Amino acid sequence: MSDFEPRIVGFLCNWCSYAGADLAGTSRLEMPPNLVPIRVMCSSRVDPEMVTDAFLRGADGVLIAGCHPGDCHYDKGNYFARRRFAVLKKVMESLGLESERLRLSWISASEGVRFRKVVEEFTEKIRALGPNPVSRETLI
Amino acid sequence: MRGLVTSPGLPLREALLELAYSALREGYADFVMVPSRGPGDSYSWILAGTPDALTSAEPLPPVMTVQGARALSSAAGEPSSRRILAIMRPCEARAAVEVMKLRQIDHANLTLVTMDCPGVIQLDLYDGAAEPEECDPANLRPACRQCSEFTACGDACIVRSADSNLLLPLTAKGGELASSLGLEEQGSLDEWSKRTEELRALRLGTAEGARTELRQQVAGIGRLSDFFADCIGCRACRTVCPICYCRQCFIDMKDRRSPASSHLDRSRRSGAARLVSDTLLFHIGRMAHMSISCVGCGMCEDACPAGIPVGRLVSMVGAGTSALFDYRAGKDPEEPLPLNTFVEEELHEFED
Amino acid sequence: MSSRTEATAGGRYIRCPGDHVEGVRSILRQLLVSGSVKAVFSLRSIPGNESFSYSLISDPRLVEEAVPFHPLMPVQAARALSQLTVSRPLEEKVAVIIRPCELRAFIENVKQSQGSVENMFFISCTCPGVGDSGKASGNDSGKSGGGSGYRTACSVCTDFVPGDPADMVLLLEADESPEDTRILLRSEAAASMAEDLTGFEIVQGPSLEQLTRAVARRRSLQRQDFIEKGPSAGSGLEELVSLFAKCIGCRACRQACPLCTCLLCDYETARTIYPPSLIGHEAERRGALRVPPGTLQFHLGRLNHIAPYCTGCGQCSDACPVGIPVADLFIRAGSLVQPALEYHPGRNMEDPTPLSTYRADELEEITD
Repeated sequence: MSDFEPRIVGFLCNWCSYAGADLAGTSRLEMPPNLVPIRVMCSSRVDPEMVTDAFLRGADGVLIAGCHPGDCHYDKGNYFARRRFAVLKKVMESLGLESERLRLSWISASEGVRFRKVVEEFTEKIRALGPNPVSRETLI
Repeated sequence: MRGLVTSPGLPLREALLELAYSALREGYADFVMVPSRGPGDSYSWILAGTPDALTSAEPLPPVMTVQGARALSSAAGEPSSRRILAIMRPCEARAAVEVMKLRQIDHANLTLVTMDCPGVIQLDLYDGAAEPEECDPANLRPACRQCSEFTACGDACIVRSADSNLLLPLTAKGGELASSLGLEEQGSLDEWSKRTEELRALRLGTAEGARTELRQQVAGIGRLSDFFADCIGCRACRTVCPICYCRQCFIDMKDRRSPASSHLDRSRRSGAARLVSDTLLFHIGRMAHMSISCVGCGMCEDACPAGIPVGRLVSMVGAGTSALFDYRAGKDPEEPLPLNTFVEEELHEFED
Repeated sequence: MSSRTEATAGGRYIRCPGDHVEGVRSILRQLLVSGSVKAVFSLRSIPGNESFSYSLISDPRLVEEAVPFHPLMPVQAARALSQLTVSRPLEEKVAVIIRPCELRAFIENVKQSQGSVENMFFISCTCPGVGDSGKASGNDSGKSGGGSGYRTACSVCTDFVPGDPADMVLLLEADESPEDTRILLRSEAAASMAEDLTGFEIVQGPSLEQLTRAVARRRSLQRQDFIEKGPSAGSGLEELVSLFAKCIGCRACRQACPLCTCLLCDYETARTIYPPSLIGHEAERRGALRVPPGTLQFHLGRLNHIAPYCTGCGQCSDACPVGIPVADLFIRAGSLVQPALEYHPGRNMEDPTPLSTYRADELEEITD
């Protein structure tokens, strides 16, 4: 499908990744417009159900981005986020759902370039995967 | 009552389908809510926005998987400009009326169409083989076998009279539906009236007999406790009930938790005490809350994994509670819920 | 005395001739009469009725109604024990007859502050499994040990030897079916209680693991087979949709689950329930939408919440009135999630619950 434009929901931590995205913007880095950012106070604020909700409502990809390990504004939120994400990935895997549509990345406030790289990579990966079949499913 | 000829020459099921298609095509409704056949001979309610989405629609499925009023309270739970036409069974439309009174369904843009209901097969007796329109009477839900309100509910009802399909407009909205579909020719309701009256009398007799028997079966706390002995506390009865709409039930309140010592005291008093302990409290409490609005659909009984005839009990209790106020659940949307109103001079027989 | 070393090196058993039901009843009776325990928590056959339910028995004469380890699970015992102790711990000693998966679930409850083990004396067993109950199969009042009719969850359960929290363990499932009643004394409390029992001799014997090697091997093969190519793999969106197309939304699976202890589930809150406007929007976008929506979201969400702690009891499948093999999905998800978190639910009281802890140097493979 050549006219497929992925829709990616990005949960970005306020202190690092959202600031990283902001830096990418103010630095006028060009990047794909496919990511819809949602600012959260910490990556550990992201309950798995927020991710499954986005997934079942047809998001083609879901990105969770937070501070690098050791840099969490709340000391250790991102470690807990990582555990929850691991549970979610394994649950999706066990059901044969496309867990590769979910991504966890660490992006600091100074990493505007890395933010662009993550968005580019993930957008291309999702583009290759094609649209999320859940978005056509009526019996959700 | 007048009956307007619709979909001549078609079976009832097709007539209902045609109504669904024309409601969308003629722009009478933005959505049709109707059961639909899914994978593995499953049936779910769908909200269809286009005629194409009605391909698998099955207005008369052999089973009731979700009570229509419950589905409707999710789709029409608050005021909306979207107009919905729901094709549902009479007991579902009656439940919907009760749920409207409980303010969990907004009626303004809603039209309820029912039909002569053949009943549904008990869920655990349904093997996927039965064709939608044929239901072996032996496999029908017990609730269906004693149902006397199997037709003419909602805003309009499509009935069969002498092999033709007649739409009965029952409310002003039903009348609007008929005129928007251009139905004018009147047909005779004689055959339908006669058949309906006969069946109603028969079913009323069955129901009365069954209730008398059940009343004896559960009389006294010991027998009631036996009745619920197999209850696994799964609360499926409550969850599938269209009337039980609370998100958090009284039985799940934290302040209802009792300390271990009270359970031990209970055990000491009678030598042994059952755990979990709230089975009877839950069922009696639930009936006190909702039995007056019970439409006798039998959904709770169908959902019970332990096979307890809970639906017949609730409906027996409901017959008693609603008789107090001469109330008939689901009959009239304008009539207030008995517990939301009062008259000064009443119920003196309960005063001592 | 460490029970873990005891388990591998063999241990002390109490033994009496005859059927385990009478053997266990005899212990319970003696404990009640001597006042060592004030009540007994056990499955009980309700008199004059074909039903079984958990009861707190305090009258020694009613112990004959107790049916310890009867192969049915009308309610998961952890659920009943949690109800008993969630607001306050027991103040008097109670002997608790409990299967391994029930005990593990209860330990999880306790770790999540949903109950207390205080004053509980656990008598568990090496578990052959339980049968399906409910209207589909009818109540089978046969004794344990029958070859078939066990829950799928039981036939693939490799966790049938209870862990540390059990004080006494009845040898029920074993490579060679025991002819007499043999009960391992696991804890100090058990050892001292045993000294006062009459009608039993105390013998040294091999460990439970040694006595159940062949069973463990068989179950482990069945489990592997089940996880790799079970009949209801539920693999992929289409199969998942198809599996839950029959779901009537009764939430019996959640209510029956001993680990779903929330009084108000996330999936009953305004935050997760689709409002009508959103339902209309999604129905427009997809052409049609199942109402009420949220079936997959509920089951997927429950898997996320419970899989790290699931003890694989199979109670959810048993409670499902339309026969969806819910437990299969939980057992499969658990078999991936639990090793990833290096967590063995309910095995002991010490391991912290996996989502309340972390290591700085773990799971790096899942970040990009």
